[in-house]
Amino acid sequence: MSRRSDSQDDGPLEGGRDCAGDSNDRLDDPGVISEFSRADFDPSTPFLRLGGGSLGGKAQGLASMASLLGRSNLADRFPDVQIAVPQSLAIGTDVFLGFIETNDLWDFVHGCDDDERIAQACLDARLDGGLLDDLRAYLSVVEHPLAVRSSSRLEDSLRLPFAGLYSTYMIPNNHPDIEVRLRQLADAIKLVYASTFYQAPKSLLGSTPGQLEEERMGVVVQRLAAYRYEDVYYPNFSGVAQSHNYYPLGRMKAEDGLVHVALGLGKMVVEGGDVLRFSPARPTVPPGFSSSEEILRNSQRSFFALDLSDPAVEIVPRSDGPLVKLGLADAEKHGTLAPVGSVYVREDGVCRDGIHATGPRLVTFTHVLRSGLFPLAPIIAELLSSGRKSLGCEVEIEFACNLSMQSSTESREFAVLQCRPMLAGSDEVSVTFDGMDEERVLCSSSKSLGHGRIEDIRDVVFVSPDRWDFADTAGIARQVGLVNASLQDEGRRCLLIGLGRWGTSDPVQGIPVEWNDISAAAVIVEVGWHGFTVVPSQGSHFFHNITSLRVGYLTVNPASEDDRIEWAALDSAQTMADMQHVRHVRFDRPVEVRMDGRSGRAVVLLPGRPGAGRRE
Amino acid sequence: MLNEIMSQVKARDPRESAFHQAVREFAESVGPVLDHHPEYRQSKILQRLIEPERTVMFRIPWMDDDNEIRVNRGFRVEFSSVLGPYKGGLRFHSSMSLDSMKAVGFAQVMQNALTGLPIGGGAGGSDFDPKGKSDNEVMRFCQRFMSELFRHIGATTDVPTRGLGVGGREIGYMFGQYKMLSNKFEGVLVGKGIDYGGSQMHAEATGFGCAYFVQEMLAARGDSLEGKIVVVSGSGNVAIHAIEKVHRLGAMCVACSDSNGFVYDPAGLDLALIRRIKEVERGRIEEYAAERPSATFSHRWREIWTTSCDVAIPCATANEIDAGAARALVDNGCEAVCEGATMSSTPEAARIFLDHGIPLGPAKAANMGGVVTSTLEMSQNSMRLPWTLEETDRRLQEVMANIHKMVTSAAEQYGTKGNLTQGTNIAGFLRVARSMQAQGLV
Repeated sequence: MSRRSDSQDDGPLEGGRDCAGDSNDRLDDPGVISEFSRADFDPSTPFLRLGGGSLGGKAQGLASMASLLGRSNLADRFPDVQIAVPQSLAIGTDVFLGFIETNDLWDFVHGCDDDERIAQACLDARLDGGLLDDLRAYLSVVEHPLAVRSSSRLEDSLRLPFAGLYSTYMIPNNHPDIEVRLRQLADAIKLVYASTFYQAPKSLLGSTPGQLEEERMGVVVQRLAAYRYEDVYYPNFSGVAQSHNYYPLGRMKAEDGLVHVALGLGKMVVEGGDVLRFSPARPTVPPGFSSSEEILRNSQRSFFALDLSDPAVEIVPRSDGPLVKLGLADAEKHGTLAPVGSVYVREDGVCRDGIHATGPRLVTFTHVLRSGLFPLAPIIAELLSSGRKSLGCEVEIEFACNLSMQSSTESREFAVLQCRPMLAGSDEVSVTFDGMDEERVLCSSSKSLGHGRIEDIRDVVFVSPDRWDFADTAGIARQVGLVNASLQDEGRRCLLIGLGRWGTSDPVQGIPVEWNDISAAAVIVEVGWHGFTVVPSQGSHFFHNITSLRVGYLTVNPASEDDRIEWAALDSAQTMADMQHVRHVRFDRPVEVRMDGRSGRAVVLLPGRPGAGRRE
Repeated sequence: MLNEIMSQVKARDPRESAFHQAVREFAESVGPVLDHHPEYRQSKILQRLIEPERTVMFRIPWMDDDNEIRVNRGFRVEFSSVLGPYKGGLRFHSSMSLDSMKAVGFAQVMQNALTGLPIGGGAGGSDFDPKGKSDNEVMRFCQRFMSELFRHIGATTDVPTRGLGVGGREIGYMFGQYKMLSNKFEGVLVGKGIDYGGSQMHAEATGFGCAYFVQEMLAARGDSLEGKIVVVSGSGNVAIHAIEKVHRLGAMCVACSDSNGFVYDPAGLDLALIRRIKEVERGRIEEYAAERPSATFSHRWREIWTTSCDVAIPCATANEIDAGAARALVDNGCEAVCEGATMSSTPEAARIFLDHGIPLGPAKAANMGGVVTSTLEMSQNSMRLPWTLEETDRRLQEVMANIHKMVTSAAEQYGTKGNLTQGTNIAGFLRVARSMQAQGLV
């Protein structure tokens, strides 16, 4: 095994990692990366590389994080927890180029617009014989399940929202025949390569300065940081931590960040499932978990695990791997629910910590976040702070934790699976209000939640003051629900504007809709009126959906000089539905919503050209 | 008369719009009664009734987790003790005000009167919102709230209960503080945990009560639930227990729903499966159809009322039965509708049922099971003897039967036979008015 020279790498922040971090604490210590050698492969080496070229954004982020962890005092602060990047093998982008060129795939993958055909062509192609020998040597020692992750040059760029576009595969790696395991690993690598040319990244590259031809794909083969329970494999819990919170509800502060955490594999978090959110600075008050009723509605119901029951499983395109969705009863049987679970005691109307009582099981993380079972919040707070300082921008960290429930000799583990610059949703990061035509402003808010631009909404559903009736807010809700249903049938999203609080439980405070009544809303506007100041019902299930679905949320209070709404501007759009309380209008071009999650400022602009959307 | 009352209310409390609304609705509904009872006019029953016997408003300073001092406002409106100790929910919500407390407390007097049990009416709470507060903050607030309230309440004077934002956790914290300050372990709060004086059947009460009420509605027509096909909307606590009880009473429930859609199972709903999906796994009702070959699922949950049935029990949401749904039920031969959810039938739907002679059990009466059971908790606390679930259930059935009797009798007595909504509005008031007359000008 030999150390790789610095010059062999093209920089730790390659591929558009354009943050300006603290020069004294940059994540740029390539010394953590060792060259893989068939002859003397040591599985305890934390970070290995195989093949030339770039490592790609994800691998670089992980190497940098490994370096940062090595230099930090986290081990002193949290002596009972092993905080590390799981053992990783990074395959350089030269291997990718060789694969595409040797198999003469370049023209096909660029020209083909069918993801399935691209995947099949890559599966049918051959990996380099030397690489296969290296991987065989690797697998002869490594017998735990693996995650095979994409690591492209452009991925994790601050400018380009590639995160999640490329594929990740999990493989059980438990077949007695090493050739079967090698085939699984090789197929997973080929499918990661194939995902470079799928339609989604192609579309993105087509609309950005980057060119598909410049994209190079690296691969990270990583130990799956989890344990085996019967025939499945999963961590106690995993999640995503962000250093900036664009939905700072209640007493949360934006700069404290936000964590999404779930029992089992992180797929539940990535898919926007019912998971627990909390601020690392205020972990004992997770929003949406204030009362038993809220916990019953909002807490996790199932979890994902890697299925180990079929060691010969085929690795299939466009799937994460042989994953299974299990119920909480399975977690209870495995012993993984107890550290994170509570029970709703129906007779008493309370949630009891732990799972000793009889009743529905709930995932509340009470023992972790309140009882100090595992220092999740302080570790994350520390990592986010260090990551932000080092990268010079907001960061996002994927993690998995294990509590050593199976054996007293196993240490508790906080595994950093990814570390990357943070993107706000799938939209561009920078939102400005410069050069805005004031005459186009439909509404402006100095207190909004969410971040980014939305430019694909033509439909506006609104309840204006002249249609308002305090005595019939339930009727208003019903009419909104009818319009919503028709929008959903058409697959349209809308801008929803109303007086008072949407989703209120008190019918005199606003419009008592359920989420199903407004599920087509991409942006929600609450307008204060006649002396009532809108106070968002933060923490409710309603808000849980708004944050997890990243719906824009604007509050317009007449008392604020910066807030306004131009009801008359809506009158001239084409009327689609005109009810007693509710109107639905459609512009012929999209309105533009700009939300700055840092300042809380947001505007909705009418369609650009003069007269757009006006009745003809 | 109505104008006179409203003028009085508005002149005295011009900004209390919610209370005005509550008084208006009530005064309109009991107008026919006053026409028959000039003595009530003479005694100014209504004018006296709309004024709370006592109102307490107090400061609640407390410390949050950041060591910041916060100040909330607490209320207890002791509206009427003419039938027994004031009894009514506590509400913790940022929108709570004296106005909303009075509106709720006033309605509670009539609702409690309908049970036939010895309880008066009141309401209380605070503008404190438990949302976004830690467990410790909620505990500190509840203790501080009770530090003032304890001097105004008691097992024989005023008995607060659970309400919006006040669940078992909050009741527990408040009970602990009351006990410490008063040095009494008594039934001062209801909705307590079973371990320390709570009653069985809090979870089952509303659904069971609704089933008992519909049984009485059918019995009044010489019929019963035996062999009836029932549709219950919703699949929450009320719906599941309504299904359980109608099954036990010999009917077969064939459809239920959630916000995603409804399932129809002509072989009869498998309640154990529904319970597993909704109560244990907290899943979607759609999953029921995936596990039961005899069942089908539709995303159009409003269309549950097109299902042919003998009895409809809407337990999902307000206004879920509109005119179209009502006509579908009528056309399909529905014989009775009983509301498990508040105002689940629109006024147009109620009119259609009335026109076709189909009895509609209004939620104000039919979903009283929860109120009844919490009152039974008071009885058990007074006796210092907890009842079994069976005993509690038997008493619930008796009270629901009595409520139905009071309602039908009142409707008949005042010329609206068969109109249970009107009967409900009148029955509670009659009991209160008679007692006020009997107890003199106090």
